[in-house]
Amino acid sequence: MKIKKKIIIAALSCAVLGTIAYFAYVFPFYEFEQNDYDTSLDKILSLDYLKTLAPLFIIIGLSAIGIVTTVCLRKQMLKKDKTYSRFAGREKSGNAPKQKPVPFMVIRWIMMIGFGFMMIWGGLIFGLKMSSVSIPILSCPWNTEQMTESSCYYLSHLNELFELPIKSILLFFGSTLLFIVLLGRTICGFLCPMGLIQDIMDKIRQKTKTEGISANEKLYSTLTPIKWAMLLIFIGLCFVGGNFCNFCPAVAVSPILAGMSTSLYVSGFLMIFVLIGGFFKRRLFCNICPLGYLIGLFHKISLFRIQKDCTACTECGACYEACPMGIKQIYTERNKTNVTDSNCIMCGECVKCCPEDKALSLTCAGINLYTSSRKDIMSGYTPKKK
Amino acid sequence: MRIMITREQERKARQDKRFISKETQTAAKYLRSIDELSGAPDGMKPFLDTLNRIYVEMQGLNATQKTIGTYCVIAPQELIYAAGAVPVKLCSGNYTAFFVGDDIAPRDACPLVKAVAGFKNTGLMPVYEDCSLMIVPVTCDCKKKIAGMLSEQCEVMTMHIPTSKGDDEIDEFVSQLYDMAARLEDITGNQVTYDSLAEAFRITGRAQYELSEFIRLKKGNPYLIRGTHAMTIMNAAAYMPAEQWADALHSVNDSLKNKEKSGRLVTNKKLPRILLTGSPIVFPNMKIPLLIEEMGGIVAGDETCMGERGLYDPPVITDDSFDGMMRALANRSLRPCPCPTFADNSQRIYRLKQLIKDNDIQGVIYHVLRGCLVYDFEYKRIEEELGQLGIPVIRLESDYNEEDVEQLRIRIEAFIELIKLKQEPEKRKTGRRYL
Amino acid sequence: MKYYIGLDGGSTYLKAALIGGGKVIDTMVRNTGIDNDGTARKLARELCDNNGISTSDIGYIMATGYSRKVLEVADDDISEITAHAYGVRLTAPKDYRPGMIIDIGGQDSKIIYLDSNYAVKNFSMNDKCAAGTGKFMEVIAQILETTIDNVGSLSLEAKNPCDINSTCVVFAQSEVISLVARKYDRRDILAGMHISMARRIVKMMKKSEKDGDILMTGGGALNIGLHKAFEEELMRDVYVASYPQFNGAIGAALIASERG
Repeated sequence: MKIKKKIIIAALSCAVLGTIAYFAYVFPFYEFEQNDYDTSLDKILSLDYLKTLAPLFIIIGLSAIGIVTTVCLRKQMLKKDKTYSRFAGREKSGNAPKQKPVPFMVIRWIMMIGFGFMMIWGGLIFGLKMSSVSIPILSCPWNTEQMTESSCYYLSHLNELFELPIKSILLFFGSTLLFIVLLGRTICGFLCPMGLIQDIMDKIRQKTKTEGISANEKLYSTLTPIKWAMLLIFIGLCFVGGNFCNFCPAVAVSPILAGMSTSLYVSGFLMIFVLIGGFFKRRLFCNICPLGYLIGLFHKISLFRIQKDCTACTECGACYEACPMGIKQIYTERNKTNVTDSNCIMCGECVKCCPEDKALSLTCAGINLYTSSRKDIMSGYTPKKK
Repeated sequence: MRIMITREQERKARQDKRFISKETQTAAKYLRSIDELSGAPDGMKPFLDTLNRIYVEMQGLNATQKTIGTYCVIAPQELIYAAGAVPVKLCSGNYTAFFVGDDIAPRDACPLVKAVAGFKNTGLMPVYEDCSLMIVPVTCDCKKKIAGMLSEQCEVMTMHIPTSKGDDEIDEFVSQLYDMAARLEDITGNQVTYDSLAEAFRITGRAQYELSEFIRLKKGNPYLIRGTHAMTIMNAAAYMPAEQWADALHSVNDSLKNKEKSGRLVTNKKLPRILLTGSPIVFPNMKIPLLIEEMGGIVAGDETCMGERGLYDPPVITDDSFDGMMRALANRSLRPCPCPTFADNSQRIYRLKQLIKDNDIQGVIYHVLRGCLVYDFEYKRIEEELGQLGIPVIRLESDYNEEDVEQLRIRIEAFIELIKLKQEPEKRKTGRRYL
Repeated sequence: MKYYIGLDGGSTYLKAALIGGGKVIDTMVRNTGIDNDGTARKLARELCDNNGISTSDIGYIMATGYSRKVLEVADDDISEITAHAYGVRLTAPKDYRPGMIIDIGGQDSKIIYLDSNYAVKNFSMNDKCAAGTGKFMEVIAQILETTIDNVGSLSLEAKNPCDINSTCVVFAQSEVISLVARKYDRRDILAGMHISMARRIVKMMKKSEKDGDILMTGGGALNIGLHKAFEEELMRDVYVASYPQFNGAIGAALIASERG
């Protein structure tokens, strides 16, 4: 019953988004006559900056409207169910018991924010020193003030890549592969600015105590074909004369924040989808991100692993519920020690939510970075000091 | 006519008095045995007092809030606390009630259910009579039919437990929990709000925190406390509000920490360490743990639902919304639960292996109540799997009477000898000894 | 050389065994009577005297059986299951692969499962009901006006074994009386009883070939009719231990030799 409701809600949300997209189309940032890549620190610190930020404000505003509409629609739909309707709409002033902050998570947030900052404004402040290094993250290279280059442009425009001199091609593949092998999908969990945006949306949802979409195999099996479609479009669009950057949601964030004006085409609409989806389902875009999928293909040779002690595991499923990528094998595996999956973004949520001592650990080249501990889980319940 | 009525009443009064006297005598006898068993930690008193109050003095919980009875640990206590009521576990271990219930329930039904039927029939036990609602998760056929019987005399709510643990089944159980919360609201008149649920999580979380400490201390040294005492502490949790129980367990934990530091163990001998698993061991049916320790073993691990399993798994909140907390409860109640109510219960074998590793177990006693088919079915597989690890397993069947004590005794004695003969005579490793 | 005595205190008979140098030297049995301990002391003294051993040569005395805890003459006691498992190390035939032991005593019957080193793996007992114990055979022997020592050889002479249906000793008694009244040959009735008893015991066994060979001990092992009935029910060879009714005492003595 509840799943049918979710489908109806999803369909309604799409209709809402479609209407929003129409208005987005009408707004004058869909396609500019002239793109303006000229930016500087002075421009950012002046009032002109707010004018360039206007498209981003509109995107955020429309996303907010979309989220509020979906929540209200859901409440309306659930009114018919006698039991749920009782509990909806009651006040939520208190706080659920929380674990105390863990060093791993604090470092992850600091790195995400720091790296996001560097990828957006890094060049403006520190100069373009590392621009020949290509990192495979979804931080739009139309922002020419990025600290490093993003591999996503040349990977989605392979015909242009092979027209470059051999040295540049080798440098490109070399640096991309180096990052993939050294870091694997920790790039997704620790560095990618799109990931930061989605995690911020999730934090907002947790703070407002809104109900999200929970782990369900059917959901993940629906997202998998969408992921392959995205991958196909990502790699193949350039060969049929299209331009992936017209679709990529990252375009709507990074260049604008750096003070440039770029034509958004459909990417604004997709960004709204990413924001609304990311609100209800943690890291929804990461589940369909083509770049993430490509990095994930190399997970077997990456240095970072999730290790499991199968004897200590009680199969409580908390890791599966907490995982933004819906990896079930962490919970169901009973024999092997290595449970790293190609989808795993090394966010560490599974280890944080595991209630058994030393059952799960995140390791880098064999060194334990973060291990599950019952004391951490129970830290929200320690007895009051008398 | 009036003379007949009063004669009937007099007869019933005499029957009731006999029942009460027999019941209190048995309960008092077992309480004494547990009390007299050596090696009790300081701080056992509140637990023994609770059991004494409920079974010997025949008083109820004496709570100001309403009492809600549950018949299985799958029904989460957090919801009951959130509705401003007090939960009490009503699975019964009483021999006298079993004797009465033997006539009501069929011959092949399990003694636990017969005892419940007996209590309900006589109407003399305050913990049963005071309940405003009884929640019966249908985990086996006997529970299903006893729910029907109980509904003739009391408000009953059945919960449907799925037979497997897929995502859809968890969703279905979440809606069961919503129904349970709604029913609790109707009975108690209080609302289950986000705040009351969060507070309830803190209350049971506190109890679980103390239990984690307790288990950690036991893991450090299996001779710190006898299994009989540990099981008594867990049994008392059925009748004490969580905060009270957590406070009492806190002092026991402190006492155990002191014992660990000073090296004052239960015994200096290396008694065979036995794991007790299977059908629940409910007070006062403490025959088997008492016999094991009388015959020279120590119950170092316990995988029964009236024991540690009831409060072991904490709910892990992955989503801070109200629905997220309900999902956390549903996940905690179903996924890690190694109860044989699930069709495929392979995870119980892993759980046993974990306990064997943690507590350095040398032998497993598989306890089956007569008529408990779900546990009996799993015996063969567990014996094979643990046999591959070199751990001997024997099956002990028992009933709720004292006629089989001698037979249990000889089997337990032979089993303990089996283990003793397997182990090499050890040299004392540490010189330190508390005399 | 040190000598060791094992005492097996049953409810009817008290058995004693003397071993020395890892071999059985002598065995003795007496009716238990009222004074368990006194009978045990007498047995121990007689064993010593008959074999020219002084009491100071006795290294250790181990008791087992029903009354083991009251035999104060012993240094320690051990359960019958462990004692029987030890006993077969000396009393089993040379080619016996451990294995399963069927111990048929006067009041109970036991199945003991051993691993390849003669250590006890598991066991099951029937001590709730007399069917499958020596008592059963005793009761029937009495009705048929013979003694328990003869029932085995008589049953082997049977031409047409009867079918005995009763599950309980008391009802089997009435069934046998009615069969006698109907002029059935007592050898046929005896054969039927043996089959019935074997079936009862086989029901509580796990009979897989890979668990080793099957060995009979206890008083019931002296009954050749029962031996044949077992072999036919299980459809395989069944071994018989030497000194079967002393197996428990011999096992206790062997354990004593490890202690003293």
